[in-house]
Amino acid sequence: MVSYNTDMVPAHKVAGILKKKRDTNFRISVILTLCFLLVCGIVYYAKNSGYSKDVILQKANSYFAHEQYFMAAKYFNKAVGLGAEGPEVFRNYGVALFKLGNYDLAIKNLKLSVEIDPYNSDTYYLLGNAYYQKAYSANSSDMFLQSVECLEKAINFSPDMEKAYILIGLSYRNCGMQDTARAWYRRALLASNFSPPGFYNLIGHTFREEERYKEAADYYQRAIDIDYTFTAAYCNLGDMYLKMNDKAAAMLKYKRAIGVEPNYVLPYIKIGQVYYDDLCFDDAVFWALQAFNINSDSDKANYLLGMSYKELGRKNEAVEYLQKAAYRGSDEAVYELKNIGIDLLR
Amino acid sequence: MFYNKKWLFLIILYAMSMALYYFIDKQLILTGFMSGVLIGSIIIFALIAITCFLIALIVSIIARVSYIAGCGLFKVSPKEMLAKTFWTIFTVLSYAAVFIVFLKMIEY
Repeated sequence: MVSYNTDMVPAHKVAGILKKKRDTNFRISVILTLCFLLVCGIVYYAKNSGYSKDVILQKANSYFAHEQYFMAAKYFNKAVGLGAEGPEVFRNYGVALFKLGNYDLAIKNLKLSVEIDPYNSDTYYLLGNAYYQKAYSANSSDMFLQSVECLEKAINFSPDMEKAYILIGLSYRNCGMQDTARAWYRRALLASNFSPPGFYNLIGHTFREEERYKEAADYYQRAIDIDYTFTAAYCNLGDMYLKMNDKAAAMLKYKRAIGVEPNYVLPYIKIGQVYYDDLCFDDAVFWALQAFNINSDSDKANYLLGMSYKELGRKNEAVEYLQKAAYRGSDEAVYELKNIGIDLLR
Repeated sequence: MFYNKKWLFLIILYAMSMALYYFIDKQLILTGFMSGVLIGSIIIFALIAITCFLIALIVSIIARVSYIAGCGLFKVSPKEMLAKTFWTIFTVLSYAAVFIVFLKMIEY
């Protein structure tokens, strides 16, 4: 590198020399950057031309078959970029995106699939499901109705698709159209050999959501009459008796559920809650402990135990179980702990 | 010194980060706060710049210490070139980081 003895050279000439040196540096820098970009471009072109659409698609399908949806989506994306098409490609790509929670792109690809193959009931169901999930997270009635539109098409092409009837009912219920949901559930009962107790239970839910507890109870009872082992229906029926202020009948149904399935945790929690509401905290603890022994990770069981101990003045146990409930997702437990003076977020 | 207009180099680095964001998004389908081009590319730019900055700082300090020790051994007066060394290492590392990430993102 040349150095300049500035004592001998005039100042304006030194400035000019230094400016030339900076410009040379700048030029070299720009040329190096352009060369770098050129190398990147060459490498990209060389790599891309080496990829075979069929090999990439095969890898995508393999990942999809092994339920590795992240990798499947990545390879489907590349395959589509290389020109792969067909209803199955777009459908599988859409399913992979759905499993990853990317509902917008899932809908886009499933729509492409139905455009190519408009008679596939499975694709319409998947599209309806994607709209449903998006509608649920966005709480959008319009999107629920779009889900309904796709599910209706799925049912048109495949009248014995039970899951489509269930989802269409859910979509209408989320829109507040319980009577339309009921109509679809009744249609399902008439249409095919579906599980009647299941649909009676669902019809019961629609009445429950409309606060028509007597009619709801009637349908839960119908479900039990056909399938006496339907433990969830017993709990639902018990809930309706509670709403109608018949605690004795409610307790009977909860205990009946336990008789049918002793390891089902929900009826124990329900009974414990009834005792808690009646200020019988020792009994509440007894039943909550039974629930806890079946499933120690149940946030509801831990919460009920915590609250019951709190009312009994046993603060240490209360905090212990409320913390467990909070760590397992109970927002009420977090709130109660804050009231006690324990902030889990700190 | 390579890229004596430092602000220009940082602009070019950000432009390359935007290009990297495009390739990363194609491969990984970014979601959440990375789903926006602007924020995503700023995050990539920041990650590259901070990583290269830290490594360049460490390497240039080690180089400077070794240089001073060597000057001491040969009884030569050391020249002040820490800033120049640091900037050269930083720019080279930045390009290397961009190239490595680019290679990874175009691979299937």
